Amino acid sequence: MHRNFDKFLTDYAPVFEHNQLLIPRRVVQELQKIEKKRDHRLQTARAALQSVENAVSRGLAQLRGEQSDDRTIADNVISRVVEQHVTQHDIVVLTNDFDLKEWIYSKKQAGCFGSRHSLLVVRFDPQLGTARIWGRDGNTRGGNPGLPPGRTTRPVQRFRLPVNPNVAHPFARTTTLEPGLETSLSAKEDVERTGIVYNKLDEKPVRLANKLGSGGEGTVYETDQAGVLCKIYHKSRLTKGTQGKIELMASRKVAHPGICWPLAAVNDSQGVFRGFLMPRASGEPLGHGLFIPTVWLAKYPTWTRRESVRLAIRILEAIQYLHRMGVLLGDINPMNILVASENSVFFVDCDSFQIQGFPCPVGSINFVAPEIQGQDFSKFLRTLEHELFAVATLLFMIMMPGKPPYSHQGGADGAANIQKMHFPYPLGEKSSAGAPEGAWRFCWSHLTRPLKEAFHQSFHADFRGQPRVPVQTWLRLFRDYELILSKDMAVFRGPTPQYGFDLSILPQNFRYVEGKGRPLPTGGETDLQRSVRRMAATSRVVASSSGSQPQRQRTPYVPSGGYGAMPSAGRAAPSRKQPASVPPTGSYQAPTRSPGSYPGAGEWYTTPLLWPIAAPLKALLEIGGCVAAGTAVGAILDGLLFMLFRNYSGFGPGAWGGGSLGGIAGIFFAGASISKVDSAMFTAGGIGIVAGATGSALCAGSASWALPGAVGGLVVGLFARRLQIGQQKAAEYMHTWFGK
Amino acid sequence: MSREFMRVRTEDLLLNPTNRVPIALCLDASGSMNGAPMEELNDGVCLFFEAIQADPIARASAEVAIVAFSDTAETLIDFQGLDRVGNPPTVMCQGGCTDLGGGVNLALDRLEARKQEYQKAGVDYFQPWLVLMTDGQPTTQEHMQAAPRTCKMERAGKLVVFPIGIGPAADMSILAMFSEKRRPLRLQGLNFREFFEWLSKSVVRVSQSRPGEKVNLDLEGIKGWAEL
Repeated sequence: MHRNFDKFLTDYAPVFEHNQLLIPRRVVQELQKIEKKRDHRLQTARAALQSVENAVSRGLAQLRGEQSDDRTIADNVISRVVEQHVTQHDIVVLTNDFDLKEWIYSKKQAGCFGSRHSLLVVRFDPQLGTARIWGRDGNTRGGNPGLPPGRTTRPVQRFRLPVNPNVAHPFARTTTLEPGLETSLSAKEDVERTGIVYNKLDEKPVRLANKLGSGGEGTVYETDQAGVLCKIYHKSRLTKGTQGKIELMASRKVAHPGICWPLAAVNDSQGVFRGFLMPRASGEPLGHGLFIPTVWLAKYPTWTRRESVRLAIRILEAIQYLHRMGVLLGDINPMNILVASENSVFFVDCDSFQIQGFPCPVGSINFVAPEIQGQDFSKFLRTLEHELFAVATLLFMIMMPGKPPYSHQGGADGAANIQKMHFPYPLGEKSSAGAPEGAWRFCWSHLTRPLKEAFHQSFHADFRGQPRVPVQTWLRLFRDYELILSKDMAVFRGPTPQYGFDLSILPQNFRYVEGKGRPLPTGGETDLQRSVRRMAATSRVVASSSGSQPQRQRTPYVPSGGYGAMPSAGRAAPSRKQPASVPPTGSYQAPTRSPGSYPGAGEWYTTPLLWPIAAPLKALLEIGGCVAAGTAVGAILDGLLFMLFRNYSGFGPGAWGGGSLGGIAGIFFAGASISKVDSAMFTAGGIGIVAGATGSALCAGSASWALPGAVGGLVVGLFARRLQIGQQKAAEYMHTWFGK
Repeated sequence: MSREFMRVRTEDLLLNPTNRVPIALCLDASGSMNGAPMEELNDGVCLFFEAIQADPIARASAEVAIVAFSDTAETLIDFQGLDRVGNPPTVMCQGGCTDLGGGVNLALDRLEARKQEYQKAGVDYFQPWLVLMTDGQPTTQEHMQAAPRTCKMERAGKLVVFPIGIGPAADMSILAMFSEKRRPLRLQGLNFREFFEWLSKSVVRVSQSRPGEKVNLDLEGIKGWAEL
């Protein structure tokens, strides 16, 4: 801290009384650290601390800071605060740190802040010892008196730049549609054949080169100008509305990196509007890339949650810039946003943006707010609130790579899900059931609480009709999240469950917090593996008995399998003659034609309240209950047979022996094959029959009494199997309910 | 095998966020298909797989099941992501009968089961497709029960049916029973490749659309394979 700091403070006291100087707490901490070291800087540090104390006690300065600042250095705190607030306030940064100054100016020059507020760096001039504006060139601004002492109000006004060169003049906001949008233009010339169009602004010819792609609206060509593409509309799509919008757009300069804003309209030789020029984008659409996360990870194995958050911030900055320009993106969707890297994002299809009275005529169902679902987008102008729904959806799908917010268990189609606003992800006590199984629950749990709250505010039916989360807030939340993820102490990456945030974009475990909630699972199984096992076990597909794999073999889980490496080398070079990875015939077949023969889902034992009763009951059965049950069933059957055929006298030993043996065998085999699919049930039953029959025959000495015991064994075996499914189900529910 | 198969199939449900398009190929494998028709059919199916695997979204989206019917119906592969399958199994002729209805019933059962799995996992899906191909007349009566089933699903918007006849002996009146919206088409000669190419393009189109959105199929392209 400069020796003239006190004098500076006194000179400008009238200013600071109204608008206190903010000193990051981290600065003070660093000074204290220097003080403790007791080296040559001791005196300076002490004086500086004294100055800060004076300033605060005189009410001219305030200490500010967050807990999370503790792990970083003061420079980072300052740069973060600047980034956060520059869009709302004029800021003067007081520092003599060259790097910090350079950082601020470079950001400003790159247009990263997209702000209309001014931002200046002031330092104590090394020669004069007075506070001066520190310019980009590294010198204190020469002729500028900077901050003449004693004139307290003027300097502040001087900082305010009349127009920020980074922001072009914004478009007017209106609520009425431009008239005559649908009037079509009659184009005769076949420019796609002649290959020449004319730039409307300078009337120079533009040559169309390679065709890059064709869509519903038009065709995109390379041109003879490097880095400039040309979109030629299909003749049927040429309207006054398109022309008006493109010409309006091209009349303003929009300078934000990555927005492929129309540069100029192009006409044919007869002067009819045909399309426009735009800068070339690079990268891969989100829809082909990050939104198919397994494939994305196979391609970019080092991509983590940090990169995803960074990407979200870059996208938000661009959207914020456009909103400030009075532009709504309208059709935000994963095919319109191209990702070259986490710091380089391109927005294409800018001709669909909503500007002034020109609507955005298209929409993607997942991104359309519930209140305007199913409407004709060319007939009205969207509002910022509609746009904020799309923004929230995009952010959600970036963090839960590719999963739309309203996908849930037992859900209907996309549009219906959105209209119902059934948002299935939990927030503390508040939880709607049915979050999709698998990675999505884990992804959700690794978000911060404020982010979860913001998503709830955007999607949950409780907030229907209320204002949605503004872009500014999203930016703050994501920057905070970025800061947390940047700390190595708080994060980890990999399949083994640990405390903290998982950096993988498809985590395999819930988030575990030390000393809170569920304990860290042990046993080497990830939460994902557990879900896979549970789901596979209750699936209705039966493998044929020809499978030669030993029953209880546990195949070691290879995480890469789920992460995209799985698409095997065999597929890389597909060839007809290669043996198929699935046996050609007869390997998988349906167990039955009619569905529902399996002791199915959704029964009493899935109720969590009954589970504590069901489990001990099962244990009881396993120990001795099966004997009793088998006997009873056998006895009842014997009794029935006795009533029907008077000379039948198997009641007794046959039922007892056969029933109990069959029951035990049934349970044993059902238990042994618990993780197998439902063929286990039939195995259990079959074994029960055989054991029961043998038992009856042995105990009673006659084969004719085998039947009741056998049936008893079968029933007990089936019952045991059913209970086991129940227990498994219940465990699953416990997990969902009490888990994070 | 089955264990690994189940794991992979389930894992795909839990890790792949893409909207699925379930497609059931219900194919005639009766003796009359033997020889050139069967070879062409297998080539067509192979091409279909390759074309879908070449498209990044369709590959994550399409799930194909193949049911072959002759004396009986059997599932050659059950619904699963093409990302995981590799090459399709070869359809082989077995027996002389044509259990058309049995094949359709089996395909619908598998579809029903897979839809339940989607719902359970919270995976969104598009309207499923049923492609039905036969070269003759059914020898069983099961189609009397299967046809109303497909029509009912079609009416409810829960199924898209493509009934295709192969060769001059195919009974188009029976095929017509399976769909009220789409009349059966007869394949031009053995243009299986053209048909499956068209089908894969349609799948790509649908997979890039948004759920619930109406997708217009490429009607022009049908001329490449159907006798109109």
